[in-house]
Amino acid sequence: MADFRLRRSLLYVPGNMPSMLQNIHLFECDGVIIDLEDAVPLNEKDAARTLVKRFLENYTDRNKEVLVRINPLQSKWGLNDLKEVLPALPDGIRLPKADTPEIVERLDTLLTEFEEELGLEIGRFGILPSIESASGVINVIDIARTSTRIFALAFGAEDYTASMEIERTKGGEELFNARTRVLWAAKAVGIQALDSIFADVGDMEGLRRETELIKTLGYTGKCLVNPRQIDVIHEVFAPKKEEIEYALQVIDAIKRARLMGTGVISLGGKMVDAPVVKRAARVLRTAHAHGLVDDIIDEEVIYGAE
Amino acid sequence: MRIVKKAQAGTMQSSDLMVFVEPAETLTVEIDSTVKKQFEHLIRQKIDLVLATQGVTTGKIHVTDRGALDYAIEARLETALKRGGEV
Amino acid sequence: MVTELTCAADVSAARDFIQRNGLTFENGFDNLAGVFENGKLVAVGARAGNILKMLAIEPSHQSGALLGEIVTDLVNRGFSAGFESLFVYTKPEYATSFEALNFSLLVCHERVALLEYGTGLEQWLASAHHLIRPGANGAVVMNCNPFTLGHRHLIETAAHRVDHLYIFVVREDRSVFPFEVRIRLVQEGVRDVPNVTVLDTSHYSISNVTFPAYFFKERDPVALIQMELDLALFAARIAPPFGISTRFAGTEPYCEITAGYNEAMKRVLPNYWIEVVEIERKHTDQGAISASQVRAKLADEDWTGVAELVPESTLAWLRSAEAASIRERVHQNKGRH
Repeated sequence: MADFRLRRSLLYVPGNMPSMLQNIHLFECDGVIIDLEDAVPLNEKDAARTLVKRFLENYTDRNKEVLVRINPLQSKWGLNDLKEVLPALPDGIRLPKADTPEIVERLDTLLTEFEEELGLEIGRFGILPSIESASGVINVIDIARTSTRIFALAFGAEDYTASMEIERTKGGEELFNARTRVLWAAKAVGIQALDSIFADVGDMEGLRRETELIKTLGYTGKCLVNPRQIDVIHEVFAPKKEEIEYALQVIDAIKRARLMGTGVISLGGKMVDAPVVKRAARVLRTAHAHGLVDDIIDEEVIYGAE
Repeated sequence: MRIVKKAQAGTMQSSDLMVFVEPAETLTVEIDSTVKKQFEHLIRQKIDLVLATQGVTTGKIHVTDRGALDYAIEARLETALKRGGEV
Repeated sequence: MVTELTCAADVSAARDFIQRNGLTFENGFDNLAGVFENGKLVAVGARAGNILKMLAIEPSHQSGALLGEIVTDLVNRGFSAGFESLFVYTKPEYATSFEALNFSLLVCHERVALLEYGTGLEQWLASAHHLIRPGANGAVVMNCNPFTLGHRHLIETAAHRVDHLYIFVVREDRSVFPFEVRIRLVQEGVRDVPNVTVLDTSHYSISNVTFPAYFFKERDPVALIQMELDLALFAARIAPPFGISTRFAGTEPYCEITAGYNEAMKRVLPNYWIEVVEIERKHTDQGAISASQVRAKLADEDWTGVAELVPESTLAWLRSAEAASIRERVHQNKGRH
């Protein structure tokens, strides 16, 4: 399953703040994660989920992906979060502390039950598991395979360093192995990998360095805590001119090959295989978001009509 | 639903409101708002609607508003009623 | 997110933060709350009873939502602790920031502004609206702990000089005689005076909010500011709707802080076109009558002495079964107020 959806920037929005919620449609990020977990104090959990429900019901002209970070299913709030928020139709659930395949399976089952109850298509709600502990990192390869609802894996560096009893540094050396393992798991099943937040809102250079690093590694997006961080992340993820040109050539090659009825596609003497096409498609998607190309290529171009 | 104890919900942030509820013999709704002049009647309408939907007929409701939209008014009042009410 | 600051390191960081922002750190709060950013405090505030204080926001963060966040937390805690009305003391330049949070300005002094959350003063005035009488009226604010012939003398003299006299009985329950008893004894004691109305001061005059030092009997620069603020509030917000153009007080030979309050009246009220009239205390052969004398004689069970100082109505109540617990308290407690 190919998912070309752009997720360069997923902005956390505190679930108990109307002023932030009602600006969601204005933020220029690719998606938002409405937070019921860390951004909401314990005595406001009930208030936040009601507010988020009422907000989502009224946010009908959705213009970006909307995820809700519920409280962990292991906590006493997780299930009630789902109950209250799912009828208001978020696109997916960010599951914190996704340490084991079992807990993700549990969410998968719950989502199926809610979809049946609400009369929705099965699989409508996506899952974004947070890999944010030593055991999460160890289990991530199994976790990624648990459910077809999982459209990406999110690495959570803040909780990960806490579980490792270490400090998070600006350089990020301590995160390297975990970041890579999360990427392997994602790429192995063909889904995206999204990087952790960068907490220091004042340090734009640090944010840029980290975003460049994770882009080089293979991450396709990053979570963020402040709308001011969106621009830097988008700048880093903006495709370079050569990348766009090459991607356009790849797509052109596919179209020609299809017209000529040949199954084998080559470009500049190199075989164009699935990963190359996928990468080209993503580059063009991103380029389109930056206004660098006019058209979005549809999946039919790549895979052909049935 | 009946209000059986004092409860509150919401915050003082802009676009939010605070709702205080407490048991009383009759129903009173008191509204302080930074946008009171233009919007008090709309806020009151929304509050009356939620109270009617929840079947609340008695109690003292005090609202301090900072320009909240309808969805927030509804959510905060519901939370306050849930916290202070009994079905 | 707002966190309660309880451990010693946090409290001392808050103390530094408050002082760095030009405020005085005072002990004796019920809650101390703060917001951290990257491990550093960027906002602090405290609640003592129904008063929010020591609110400080890092200067670089003042345009944001931190004030609302911290005040929400303190108001919620105050409300949970059972306070219906909450007040804040702040610098005059921050008054508008609080007005944006639905506080209303009660009174502004050179260096301090007092605001209340909600519109309690307006509501209190509205509830007393039916008591308003036309004319050039007077007012006296009294604690009456308990009501004596001295109070009676002051009221008779004052009532004689104005169209109508409002007797504001201090609501704050910090005295030996509870408010309900004090106001009842005043009502009974002035029943035959035709042009007086007895009402209470709510939070708005000589209260824990406007003038806490009155109850602690401290005389310091803070008490001086409090007195002036209390009187400015009376003059600007309470006197006009009641048509009060004269405020009466008894001369104060005993209590330094009350004497100071009388002096402050003469300084503040004329600026608002309110005349201050000090009426000579009624004397017996043991000097000026005072409520503390009554309590002293009551403590000694000197009923002849008590009878010389209080009207019939007060005497009857003091002798009643209902007063047993108060007689006991007076016996144990020989404090002044």
